Amino acid sequence: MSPEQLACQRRHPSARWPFPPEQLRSRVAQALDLHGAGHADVAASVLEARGSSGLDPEQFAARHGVGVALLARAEAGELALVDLPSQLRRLLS
Amino acid sequence: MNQSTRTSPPSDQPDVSVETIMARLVDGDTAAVFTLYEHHGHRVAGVVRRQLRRCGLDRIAPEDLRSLVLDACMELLTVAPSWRPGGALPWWWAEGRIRAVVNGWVGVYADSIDDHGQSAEETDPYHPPADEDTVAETFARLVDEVPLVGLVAEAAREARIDQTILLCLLDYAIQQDQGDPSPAHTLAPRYGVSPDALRQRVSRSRKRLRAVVADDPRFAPLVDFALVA
Repeated sequence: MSPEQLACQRRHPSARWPFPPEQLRSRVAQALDLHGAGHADVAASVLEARGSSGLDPEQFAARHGVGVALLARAEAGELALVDLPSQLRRLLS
Repeated sequence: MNQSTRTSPPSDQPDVSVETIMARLVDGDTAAVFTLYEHHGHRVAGVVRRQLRRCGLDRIAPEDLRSLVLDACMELLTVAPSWRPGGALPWWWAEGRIRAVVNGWVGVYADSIDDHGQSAEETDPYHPPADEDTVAETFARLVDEVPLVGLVAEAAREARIDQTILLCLLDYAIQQDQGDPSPAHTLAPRYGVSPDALRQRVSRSRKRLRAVVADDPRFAPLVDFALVA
């Protein structure tokens, strides 16, 4: 199968679990909160955005024009929503 | 599955192959749980549904199924470090853990009387092995311990199937048995050949093995083996 066919297959709705991961996001937020993350909800949302995209931190940061270090801080729950760059904030809204 | 593992995507494209996701989970990348859930949740759901059916539940509410799949994904996150690429797909490999999740949800009262035959299996909680033997090690051990396996090895020698091909044949059969719809794609990277070449190799070896087993009465006990069927 060619890379193009594979890409099409991955994009097809049948290749995805149809339920949005809100429940998973709240579960991850709880776990981060337990580990002392200051902004666990924001972190879980950023993780969800990146996880859903399937990109690794470098790819995701490059695609959205943010620094990898900043992304790591956001995913660790160190940044509040207002502290996120607009490119990331847009993804979460 | 494993179609997603066949070709590496370009560097700016998402790689949602099982190997990549599991490697990210092992590296502590929590975002990979979302990737697993979204891109492979339907496959995890297949294992969940299978266990639900075993418990006598053919239908459950979508939100319950979603919740079980989510729990199963969290279990996969826990056991990710023990999973090895090239083997069974994670949700089949950790089927015991997923079954435990489902059983916990269903509750002991949902077990039908007919299921009591499986009680020994159910009461002994399954733990994925941290250090599992390779197929080669296990096969070498079984050749000495189990006469029928020794007979398989002997038949393979008669059929001029070398050790590597025989292990490939066994690996292929294991993948098929575990529900892998495309064992050739799963195993091709391990054996360093293309999926088509591997499929051809397995087919030819199987044919030779089948011929030897059919012709030689010594190998009569192997006639019904899935390996030669």
